[in-house]
Amino acid sequence: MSRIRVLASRLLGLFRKRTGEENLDTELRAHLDALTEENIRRGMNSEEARYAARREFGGVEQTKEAYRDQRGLPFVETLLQDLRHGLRTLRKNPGFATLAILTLGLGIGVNTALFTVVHGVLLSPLPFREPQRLVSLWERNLSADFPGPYNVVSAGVFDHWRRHATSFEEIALIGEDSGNLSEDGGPLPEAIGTRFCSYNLFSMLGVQPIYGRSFSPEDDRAGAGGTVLLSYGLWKRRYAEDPQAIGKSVLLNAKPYAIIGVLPRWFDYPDSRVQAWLPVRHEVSAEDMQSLSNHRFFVTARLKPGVTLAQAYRELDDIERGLHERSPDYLMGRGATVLPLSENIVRDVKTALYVLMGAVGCVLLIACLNVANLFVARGAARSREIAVRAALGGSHWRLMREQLTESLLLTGVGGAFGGFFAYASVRWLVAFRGDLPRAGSIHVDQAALLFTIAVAVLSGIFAGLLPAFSATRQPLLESLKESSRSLGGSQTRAGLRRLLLTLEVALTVVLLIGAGLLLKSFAELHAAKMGCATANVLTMNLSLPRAKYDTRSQKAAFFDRLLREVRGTPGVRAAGFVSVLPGNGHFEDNTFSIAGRPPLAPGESLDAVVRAADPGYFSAMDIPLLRGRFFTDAERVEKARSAIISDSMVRKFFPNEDPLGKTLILDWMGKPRFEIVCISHWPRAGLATPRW
Amino acid sequence: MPAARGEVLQGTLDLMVLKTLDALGPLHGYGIAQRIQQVSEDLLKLNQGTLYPALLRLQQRGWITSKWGVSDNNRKAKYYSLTRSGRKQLAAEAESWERMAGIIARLLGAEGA
Repeated sequence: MSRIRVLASRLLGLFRKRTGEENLDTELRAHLDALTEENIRRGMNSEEARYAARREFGGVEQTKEAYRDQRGLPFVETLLQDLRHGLRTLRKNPGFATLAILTLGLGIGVNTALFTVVHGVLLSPLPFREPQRLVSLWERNLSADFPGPYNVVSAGVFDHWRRHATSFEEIALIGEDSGNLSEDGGPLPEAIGTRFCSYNLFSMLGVQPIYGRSFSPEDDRAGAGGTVLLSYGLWKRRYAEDPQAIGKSVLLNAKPYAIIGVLPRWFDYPDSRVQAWLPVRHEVSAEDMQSLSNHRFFVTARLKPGVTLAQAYRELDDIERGLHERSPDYLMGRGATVLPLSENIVRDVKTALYVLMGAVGCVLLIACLNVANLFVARGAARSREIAVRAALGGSHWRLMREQLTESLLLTGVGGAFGGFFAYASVRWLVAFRGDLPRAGSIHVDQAALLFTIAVAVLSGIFAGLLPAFSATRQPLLESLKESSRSLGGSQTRAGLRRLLLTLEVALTVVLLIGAGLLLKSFAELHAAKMGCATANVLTMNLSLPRAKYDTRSQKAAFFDRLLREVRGTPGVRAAGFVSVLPGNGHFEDNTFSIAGRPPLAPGESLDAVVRAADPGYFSAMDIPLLRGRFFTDAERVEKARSAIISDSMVRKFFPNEDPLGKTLILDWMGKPRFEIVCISHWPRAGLATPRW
Repeated sequence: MPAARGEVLQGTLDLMVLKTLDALGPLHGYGIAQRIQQVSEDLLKLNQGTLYPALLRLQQRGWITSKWGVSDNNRKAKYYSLTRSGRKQLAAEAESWERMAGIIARLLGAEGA
């Protein structure tokens, strides 16, 4: 109680300093005057009396000093003093201050921004029910061409896992698709990214639609009526957040679907670009749903309580291997991979984020060293002042504290600046980089604020302490003599500056090497030849709804007309169709056999990427012909019986023979046969991928 | 030749101030100093200035209060007076001081015997 009272009165004393000081003066003067008068009455002359009074009283200034210490909080007062002093010195040197604040602000800002991203993407738990039990399942080691641990799963394999694996409480299937969304009399049709899933996906994740309902097993059947779940974004954009949209009928690829619900705003799994969800068995043919070798699905599962990741991994791996041994003719995994879902979502960005974190850490360290170096340099100019102050009784601690206060002032302002910078950049990142997984869970929150403060304080201490040590650790007399004699700094200070500089240069070199390697990769990607025309080429994607264009001749008629009209457009020199554009990725591959060759050993297969193109495609894209001839206009629909193969396919499958005239048999329905009529260079599937 | 003037013992200044205010009522700093000096018959070496931080300390603890007034010779002066909790504190401190003094006296007496 009394302690609180003392503290309160001391705090008040801080603010009533001026009146307190005047009062003290009056009181002490009255005392001295009274003593003097008393002495005069005793018979001294006024000179003697004043002198005696002072002797009796003791030191007036000491009394005042002791009184002041008792009155306020000396620690806070010196702190305020240091702050004022710091502000003054910084104001005297606005260039130094601005530079230091900017570099520190930038350093702290990028660190906070990246911390926020790492915290949201990598460290925060997934926003699902008991996320630690959610896993992602993959087929592993399909063939020599696909040896990786993360291969997409075929629906047949999924079904086998579902029936035999005991580690999982629930197991769900997800597939990628896209479609044309339209309504009778509604807004303009648009192409949207969609996903299909097994009906249990949302209940497994523990996600409830904010309006309407989720899929039921009845929706997830081949003959069921079409149902669709909208993402919050699509609902907001196209239906203006109208709850009446639930139950409405829309057309997806010209087929009718009922909107049954809207997903929560935060739901951005597997990424924020998905706009609508459909039940998988309603979308995918029964044949595809049983296929063991049609790898196109992502599988997510929930572990049973108490089952470890390793147990699930072993079980699934065994099941997959067993299935492969029993059906060796199918291209499928020789094992399976189980990965925590949280890991899986960030698999592609994790390393990059940590590397970036290291890089921005280096940036901050450089900024700190820079500021420390500037302090040391300025300390050299001020060494005489400091020496004089030390000689007058300024304690080392006090002098060091002053330096620390100044540096903390800089990092504090820099931190505030950096905080704003981080906030702005994170907002930008979340708004414009929808391809970053879990972008929705990135928030500038309390943790980010604490991080900023901690980083600012730590860098302040770091930048302030280094030069503070050097500035106060000098023999007094020497620096007095030295600074009166010469302009150069002392040996120790020069040594410290050299060390700081060396560190700075070393860190910069690390960053430069990283940046250089990145630039080199970029330059190489830039210089990589796509293997086709890339300048003045416009591309468009379109898909024809099967409901309206069911037969091949219907499609061919549409494409024919489209191509004619495009070619007739002024400014168009050439136009063509291809199933997958160069640079757009791997997409379709198929197994095949070569006519006249002995059958392969069981479990072996030939596999190649397959594209479909019209005759005009090759000349429109400047794809070079090596030998033979391109397709002719007559070879279409039923008469399409010729194939163009790439030079790398020649090297791989026809190393010592002439492929022209040979026949390929594709493992499609009806085992169609194609005669090789041409060898050409194929454009790349991506800048960083090798040629086929 | 007067006896050597003793230093003020640590912690006893507070007790002296409280007792003085208790005995004489509201008093200014000069008066307190004079009274202490008088009672000690000039045996105490008191730097009168040290009184002021002590007065502030006692105020902060709420044992005394102060008020500006006018002294006998028409000067503005700050008058200090004892509060109720100050009176309690004085009683407690006086008792503990007497106990301590008694112990010391007995100890010294036993030594002498």
